[in-house]
Amino acid sequence: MKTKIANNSLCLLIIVCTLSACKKDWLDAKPNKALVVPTRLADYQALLDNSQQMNIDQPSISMLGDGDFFISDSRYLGLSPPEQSAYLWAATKNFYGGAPSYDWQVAFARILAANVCLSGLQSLQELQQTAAYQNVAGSALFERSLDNFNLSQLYCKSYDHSTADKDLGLPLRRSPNVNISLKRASLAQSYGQIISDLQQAVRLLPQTPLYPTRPSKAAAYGLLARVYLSQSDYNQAGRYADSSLQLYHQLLDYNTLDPAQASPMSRFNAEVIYHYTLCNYLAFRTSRLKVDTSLYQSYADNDLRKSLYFIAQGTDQSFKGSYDGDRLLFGGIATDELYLERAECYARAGNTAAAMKDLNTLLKTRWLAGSYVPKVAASADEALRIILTERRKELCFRGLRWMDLRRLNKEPSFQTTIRRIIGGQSYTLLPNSARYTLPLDDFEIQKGGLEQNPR
Amino acid sequence: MHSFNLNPSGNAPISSSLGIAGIDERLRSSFVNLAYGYKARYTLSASARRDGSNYFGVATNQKTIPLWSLGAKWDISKEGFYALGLLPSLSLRCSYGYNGNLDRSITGVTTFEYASNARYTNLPYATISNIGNPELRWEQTGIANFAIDFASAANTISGSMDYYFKGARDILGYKTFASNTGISALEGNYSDMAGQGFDLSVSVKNLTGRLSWTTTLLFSHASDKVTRYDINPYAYQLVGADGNQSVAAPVLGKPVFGLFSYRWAGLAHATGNPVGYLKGVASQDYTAIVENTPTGDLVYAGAARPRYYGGINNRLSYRGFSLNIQINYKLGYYFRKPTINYSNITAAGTAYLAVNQDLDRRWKSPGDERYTQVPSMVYPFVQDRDFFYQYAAINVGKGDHVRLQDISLSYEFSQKAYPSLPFKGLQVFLYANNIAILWKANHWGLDPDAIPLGNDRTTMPSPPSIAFGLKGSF
Repeated sequence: MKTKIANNSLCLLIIVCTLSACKKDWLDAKPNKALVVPTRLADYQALLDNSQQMNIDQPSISMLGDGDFFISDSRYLGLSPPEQSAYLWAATKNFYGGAPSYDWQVAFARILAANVCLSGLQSLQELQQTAAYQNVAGSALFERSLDNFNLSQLYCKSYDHSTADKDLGLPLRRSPNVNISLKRASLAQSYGQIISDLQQAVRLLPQTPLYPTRPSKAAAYGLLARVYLSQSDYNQAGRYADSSLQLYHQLLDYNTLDPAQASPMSRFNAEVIYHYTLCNYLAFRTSRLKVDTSLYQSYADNDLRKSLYFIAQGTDQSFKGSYDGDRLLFGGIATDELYLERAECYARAGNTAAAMKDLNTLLKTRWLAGSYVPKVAASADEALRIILTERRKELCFRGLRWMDLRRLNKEPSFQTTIRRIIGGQSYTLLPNSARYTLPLDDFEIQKGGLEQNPR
Repeated sequence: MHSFNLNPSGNAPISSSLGIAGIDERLRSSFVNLAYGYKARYTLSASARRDGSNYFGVATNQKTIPLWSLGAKWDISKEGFYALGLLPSLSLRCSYGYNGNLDRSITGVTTFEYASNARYTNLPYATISNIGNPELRWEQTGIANFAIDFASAANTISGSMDYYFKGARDILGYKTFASNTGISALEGNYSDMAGQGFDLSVSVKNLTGRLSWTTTLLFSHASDKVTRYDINPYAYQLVGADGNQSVAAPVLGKPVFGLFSYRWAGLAHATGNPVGYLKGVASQDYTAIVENTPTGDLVYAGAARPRYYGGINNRLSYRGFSLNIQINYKLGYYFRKPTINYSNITAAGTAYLAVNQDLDRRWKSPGDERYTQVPSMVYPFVQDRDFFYQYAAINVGKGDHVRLQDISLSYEFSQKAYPSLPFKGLQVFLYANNIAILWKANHWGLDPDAIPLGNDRTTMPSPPSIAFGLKGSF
């Protein structure tokens, strides 16, 4: 047999070529030093410290429709399709010009980041009692709640106790698994999630944050006050505004600011509890935004805000008073908002004296030193009227006016109709119009299978 | 906070200038090749390879990728029982090859990427560089090949015929996600495909001797189809992906690169507006046509890549002269004709790229629709109207064509014939390339091999070229 094989000219060729290093874990080396598989608390904290994502671009396209400013016909033509639609409260069809809704997209990207943190923490339970763990957990819950809340003010109907069980809410994402597809929860469920996230955050967050870009207890209380205010639940709103002010209540004396500066307010100033800015739409640029004339004229000459908030643009006024200290518009949580919120809730509870005290404490810092005469109100109703007027004047261009219009339009005495004229044609937004709820973009309807808002 | 004022306005933190960087790529390959021949009639071969790399974020057992193949060859003509005098040389071959593939840049687990100097705070921060896809697997491809090699006496007729089929499973691709997931797209194993084809090559010596003439014929066929696709593309995505843009438009049961378009109903008599169909009814609601046409209502023309292709080569030689003529052909496919898109001609910076001669052929007054299919120009431009027309069936044509690729003529002075030459050999040649398209199916005068992509108007047909030369060897 052996010889037979040899005769049959066996030819066998083996080439083995191995280029290998000796160590087995040689291929485990990280290809890029900057990459990690997150496992440590510090990794999740680092994700939340990404201010470029977490502290800018909060949903704000609704501000184009809130009536606090207008733009010229020629500037209108230069706006993007979603901005044009928002400015004229356009119909649902083609609202975003075929693009996805930016505000919706960036908010859900942040919610995903928050969910990545919250799900990552599940394998770090042994650290639950540490301050670092609690800061990550509390911050992630706060961020998720903040985005869900801001989204609800754009894409859901204004909260109404009698219909909230049936009204369309948000797809409530609680897991980082992107393969899960969700339907829209009810508005009541959405608010339930927003509030329970914040209540947990309050327990976890530190009293004083290391940076104003990180949330704190005062920030969570402050946001709770805002959330309850949007539900017209003035008992709770007042309670939480008070809780926040108990922790931090410093005000900035506007007499110390220089109106000659391009941005007189500095970033992280004494009033800022939590810093974030709004989506930077073209229409918000100083060169385009023209402040509503009657709003501008409502400031008295001794009111320092008249020169600190506004800058002349030709015959009109533009806005320069952002607490960002730069061109982005501030939308974060600050003490002035909480003073006004607590004042409003006192007035609504019939406590005129306490309401006017809060208002006067705030306004004294807004007027030229020595010129402020404390305002008085004969009744709680009058106090409320004064406070709401001052609220609009103090908090303009912070993305809050839309929420206020939605809730106040439910009260006949505070209803507002907004009008615009573009290209010779006039447009009107009536109180309680279905156009106060923005449409979802077509991708969410078709790909996400979500239900569109009736408008 | 470490902020300082910027001039003229605003403020920013002072950069800490700290950063983390460092790249380390590691590759490891093991390779085995075995061949076994028996009685010079049977040959078996096998090869295997493992490619390892420090892929990030995958399980250790996925860091190496296997590739292997098996092959066998049987030289029938060397068997004792073989008695086919007509074909003194005949052999059969078959092989099977398999490989796995994973995209380096994607991983199954969530990974972060660190960076320094967060906006406002200067803190180190992280971003999600990859959101985990727990269902990620290797792409797997298998190819089986069967072939016959043959030659007649004195190689007068020789050639080979190969048949192959190919299956690919778990092909990686991007799927778009609803934004409420927090992402816009994710790469994953969303599709399978199957393909088959053959290559035939025959060479015939028509004449031998002083005047020799050899003809070589190449004929290939390739077809493929999508056998699984987890994504439901929109109509506007399908029409926007042409085969010639190397963007796949996968639809179950259709080729990976297919050509889809909107149904076309001509131009409106009064306005010159393009007319399409919506739910079977003629419509000029362009936004609805573009966005809401169900993919099933699109017109499918066929494959966007040639299904049959090859060439015919004739080589003649006489004394020192030799002449070579190459003709190529591509058959059985479709392409989309570039046309005018009015919205793009105002695009800043690239307007000149969007201008097309169809502008001149546009509908200008009622009645023109008898002579032209190019819509009227209306201002302000309507993007969806332009998009619908651009991707309507009227602009799809057959790509089939036959091309006279090249001719070369040369004369060789050899030292044998001219002993006084200072060279061992001297060759004079004339070479013409890209000579002409002999036949094409489309009536637009377009070269189907030179269709510009999208906005690109710089693609031109390869120009004919003629070269004359001298070549000497010492």
